[in-house]
Amino acid sequence: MEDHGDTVTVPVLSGDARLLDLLEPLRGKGSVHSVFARVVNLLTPDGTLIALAARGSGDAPRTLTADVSDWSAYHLSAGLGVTFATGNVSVDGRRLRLATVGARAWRPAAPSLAAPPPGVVAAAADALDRICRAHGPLGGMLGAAPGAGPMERAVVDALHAGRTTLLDAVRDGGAAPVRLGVLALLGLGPGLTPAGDDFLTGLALVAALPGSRLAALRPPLREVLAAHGRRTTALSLATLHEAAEGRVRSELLALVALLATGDPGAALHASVRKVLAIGHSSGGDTLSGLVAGLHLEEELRGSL
Amino acid sequence: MTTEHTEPTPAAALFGGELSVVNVGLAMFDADLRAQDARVSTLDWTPPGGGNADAARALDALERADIAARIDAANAEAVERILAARPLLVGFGRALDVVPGMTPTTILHAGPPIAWADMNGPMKGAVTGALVFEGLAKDLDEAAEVAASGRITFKPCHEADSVGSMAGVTSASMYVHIVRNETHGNTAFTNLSEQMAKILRMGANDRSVIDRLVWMRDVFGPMLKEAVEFTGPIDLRLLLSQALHMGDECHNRNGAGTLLLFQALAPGLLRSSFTIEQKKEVFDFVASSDYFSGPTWMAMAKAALDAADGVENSTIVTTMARNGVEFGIRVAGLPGRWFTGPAQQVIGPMFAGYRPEDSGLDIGDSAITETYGFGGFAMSAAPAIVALVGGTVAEAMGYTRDMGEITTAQNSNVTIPALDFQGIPTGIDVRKVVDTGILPVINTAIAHKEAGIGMIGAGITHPPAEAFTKAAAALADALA
Amino acid sequence: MSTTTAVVRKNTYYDSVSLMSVSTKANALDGVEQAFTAMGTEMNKGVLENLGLLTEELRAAESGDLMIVLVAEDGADTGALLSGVEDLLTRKAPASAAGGEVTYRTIASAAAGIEGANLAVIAVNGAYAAREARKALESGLHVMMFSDNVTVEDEIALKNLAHSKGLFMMGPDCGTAIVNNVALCFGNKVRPGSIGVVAASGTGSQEVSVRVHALGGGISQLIGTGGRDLSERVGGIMMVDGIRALAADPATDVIVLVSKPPAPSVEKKVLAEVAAAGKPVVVWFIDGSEEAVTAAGGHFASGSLQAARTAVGLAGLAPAAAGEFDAEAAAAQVAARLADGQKYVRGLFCGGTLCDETMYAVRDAGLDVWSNIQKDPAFRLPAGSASRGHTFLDFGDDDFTNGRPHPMIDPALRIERIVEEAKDPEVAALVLDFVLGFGSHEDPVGTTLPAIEEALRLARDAGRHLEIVAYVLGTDLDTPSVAAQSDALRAAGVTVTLSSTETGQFARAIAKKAQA
Repeated sequence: MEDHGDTVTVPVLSGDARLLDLLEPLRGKGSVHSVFARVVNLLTPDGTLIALAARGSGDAPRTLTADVSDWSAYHLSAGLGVTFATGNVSVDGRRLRLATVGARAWRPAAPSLAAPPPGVVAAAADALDRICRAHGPLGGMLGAAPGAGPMERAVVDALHAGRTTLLDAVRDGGAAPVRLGVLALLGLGPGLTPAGDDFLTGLALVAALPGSRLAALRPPLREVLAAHGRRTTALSLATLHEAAEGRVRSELLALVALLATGDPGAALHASVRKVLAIGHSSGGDTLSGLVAGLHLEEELRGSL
Repeated sequence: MTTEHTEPTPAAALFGGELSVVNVGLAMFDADLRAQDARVSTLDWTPPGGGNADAARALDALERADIAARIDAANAEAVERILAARPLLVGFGRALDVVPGMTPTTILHAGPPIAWADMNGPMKGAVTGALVFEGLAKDLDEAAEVAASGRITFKPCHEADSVGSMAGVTSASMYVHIVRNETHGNTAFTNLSEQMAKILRMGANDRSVIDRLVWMRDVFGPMLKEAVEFTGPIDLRLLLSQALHMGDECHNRNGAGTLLLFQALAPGLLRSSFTIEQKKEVFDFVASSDYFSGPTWMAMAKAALDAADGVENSTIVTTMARNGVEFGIRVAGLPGRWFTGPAQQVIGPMFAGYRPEDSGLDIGDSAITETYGFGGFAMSAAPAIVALVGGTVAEAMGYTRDMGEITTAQNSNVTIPALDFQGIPTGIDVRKVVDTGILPVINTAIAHKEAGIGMIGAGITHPPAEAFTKAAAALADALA
Repeated sequence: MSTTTAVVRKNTYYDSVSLMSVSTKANALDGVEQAFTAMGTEMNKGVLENLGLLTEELRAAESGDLMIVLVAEDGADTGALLSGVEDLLTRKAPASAAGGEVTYRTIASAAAGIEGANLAVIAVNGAYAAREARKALESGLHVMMFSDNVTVEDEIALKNLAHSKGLFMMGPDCGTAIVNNVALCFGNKVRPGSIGVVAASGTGSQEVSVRVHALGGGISQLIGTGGRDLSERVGGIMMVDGIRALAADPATDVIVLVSKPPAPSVEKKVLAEVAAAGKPVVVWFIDGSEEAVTAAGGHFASGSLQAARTAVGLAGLAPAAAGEFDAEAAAAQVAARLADGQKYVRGLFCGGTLCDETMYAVRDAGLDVWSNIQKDPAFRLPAGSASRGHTFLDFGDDDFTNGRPHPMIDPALRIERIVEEAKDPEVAALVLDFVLGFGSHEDPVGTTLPAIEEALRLARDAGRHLEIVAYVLGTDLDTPSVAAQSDALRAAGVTVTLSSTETGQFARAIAKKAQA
């Protein structure tokens, strides 16, 4: 399609502060990586995967939220060129320019796990686990759906085995077994972000919280991501890289912050439901990683 | 990273989303909505059946939920058969030997049934020429008497598993293509191309025409027959799809298709038992016109469409054909019945020296190509042809899109690069034609109205709407 | 013996929800034992290998590729299954393929071809309108049907179909709606805001929206129902759905209903929705009664101005203090200039509800009123009859339009009548309305002024004062603006009223004094 001149400038409402800083000096050509109704993923000139979300999507790492209801009007497709320039990003051949000027900077802040007294984290994890099991999606980390075929059952079994391997390795504390445990889950399972990766995201988030006893998980996780990134999808890999730094979607951070207060009360339910609404099954699988991480946290504290 | 959320109610989606209006009926609302920066698309709307009350009634009957469900299922099956058909060129043979029901005194012609007395000039010219060629008359005058004597059996090609270009006149000793639908086992036939000169199918019948028919019978046809015996069956759907990718629409533009077909036949022709001189004659003859493969694609389409003939309850069109006086269609669910209206004028540029009033009415079985989904339906595959038929590239794209509105499926085996490899529109649905008022678009040649002059231009035409409204009424009678 | 077959889509990403729907639909295909959809990662391929399901094609898949694995039942046609899955994955041809804007011929193809299309405006001949509306609803579009002459049976069938799909079926004969601040058909440019309207009356809802705007409020959505919706037979299907949609709309704080009084059974149904809305609901049933509305917890409004004022107040906005119009004093000044025998008020209206509101105001003073839309047959004047007594004519009624465009578009008929009424020595005052906004004539006052001047001249030459009262329905945002049109009227000697309600009060006061 030709550029018809009257380019639409869409304001970016908010964005990951680190991404906005990254974009500030960035010049050159990138491309459209993938297109969904409400989210478009781009590759920057240096190959970083970033997301453009429609308004109301909630802040997330490497994500800009733009003032559109969805992207369908712009006829975007994977492979289109994207020009990164001062204060704006535009899609070649489409009348779309995103202006980052005035965007609210989102700075994800991970709450500390140092403060809560003993038992509180475990209680929070139990509550989370109950809600998750009552409302979470089946077919991934939470077990097979009733009447599932052999393929789904085999995947669920493999996820369960990978989970056990990884959690045992974290308990033992050796980097090499942790690497194997991560590899047992990376890229495994159904979904656009495979369920195993979602689990790893939840676990990595706990490990990245200030004061976490799981911090030893992060170096081998980063190594695996660097060395074996091709074992999963680009979207999943980007999500995991960020989670290992404690940077996850706002809904998930809000939930963790609520848990860290030690007394989530009635607000917990609503907060968990927001996380469960992420993707089709991603939210539930991520929560199961979070629950596992919080349980481990308590276990490892007890041993001190 | 960010992913999706769940669906809101339609009302909440409307309130929470961006208004996008489909405007039907009053253009003034279009301007008002645009002035408010709303998205709006105003339909090019016409009343169903062009406002014809009978058509609207028939359509209402066919749209009753239970009947529509039956029709939809039948149409899915009919189209599935058309799409699944895999026509192979398996040989060539004398019509008398291979075409069912053929006798020494049978003359096949294009279009729906027509009596000798009612035939137009070019078809009469072709019939008399064929009678002389067959030795059934000593000259053209006697041939006219023989034709009128009642001793000749006139029959539409379509009723003998065949199709015929232009006048479509096919007699016993002419060589024909034999195209077998590998999937469903049926066979279709069509005459050989006489290439482009003064030719019988355009109504020419002088000595040079008869002499060429004799050479085709004695050399060209038999050599093709031997060639396929060497090459083995040739997958015509595959070649058709390649030809479309190379810029043919395979009705009026056949350059690529002819190269591809000849490429497939050449080794066999070389190995045939004929002399070098004869082979050179054949090569020269093929090279003399791009039209060589034109009839081949017609037989290919015929073999595929006949597979859908007789699918009960189906409203899919299996035949569009013209005899120069009437345009007739046949429908899968009403086998053996023709629905006709007057043949139309073909609109397009004329060769130098000819004027529109010289042109004969639309003639020939070649609209079988559009019935399958190429020809005019695939105009967007052949932008180079638009000048020949007097249009623009944008119009060519529009034709294919419009045909999408009256068809049932896209044929993923035969695709159009310029439309992002969209399949050609396949399975014309009588209901949709009547409902939308969009008539099939046909690319075709213009023959002179007098016998013996031949092609004087090319252009675009449409079937008469009447043929479709009659079919809709008959379908409503039969199904409702 | 089952067989495994697979589709691999290179570098293909689907929304997770669409991916799941492909997976679910693939599992439901005839002949599929099980289907599995996942990305082509090493781990996922490993699981398939352990199950002995890793075909060569799947082995070649990479992390960015989508794998759809089908285990087919014995004897199933795997070719057909694969094409079934391809169909599930096939996306529409891009509408931009031909360059330029695509023109569609049918609603179904437009709905399929335009991403995000969500509402059809149908204004075709009534004989075809129901069919087009059905197609739109079946294609998942909300419908606003401007067309009239649609049978009540068709209306009921369409509204039931729409209701079952959660869609709006506004109309038939629905002239006004505002969706997401966009006016459809006949509507005015008003501020967006928190007041939602559901209306069975076009000009009535236009008047409410314009008054809300003038009072500083704004409109969230204005849903039309068509004039017959609240009849016994149709049963208020669209009114009920409209109330529910606004009750659920987070952007709507106050709901206003505008209608002629519903059939009793329908009124009960509607008032039950009022009670259940969970938001304040203002009810203006034109010439309706108060008790039932109040009993249901609704806020009764006796006129358009009161409806707008109440709504704006409930929305938490203090309506700009407007000086009350002193109709009696203004009418006294008019009466002083009238000659003997000038006894009657003649109202010539484009807007049906505007006509109603003024006519009922005069009738409520105990005076006889004649009209082509009178409820009481004894006082009904067929189109084409000469006026008698106090006459109020709705030129938008079918009797008058009879195939012609609506007087809001084509004021010719009314223009003739203005001059005719001016010749009648019994006429004290003419009352006119002018409706601005989208859909309406681009300069209704300008095109009528010559007739007004002629009327005034005729009266003057006959030694009479003819009072011409006009109300301009519109906002400062409309083109032309309400101020510009009003100024032109004033310059010609016309008294301009500031709302439909005020127009009624003034007409009543003049009628009382003139006939006294």
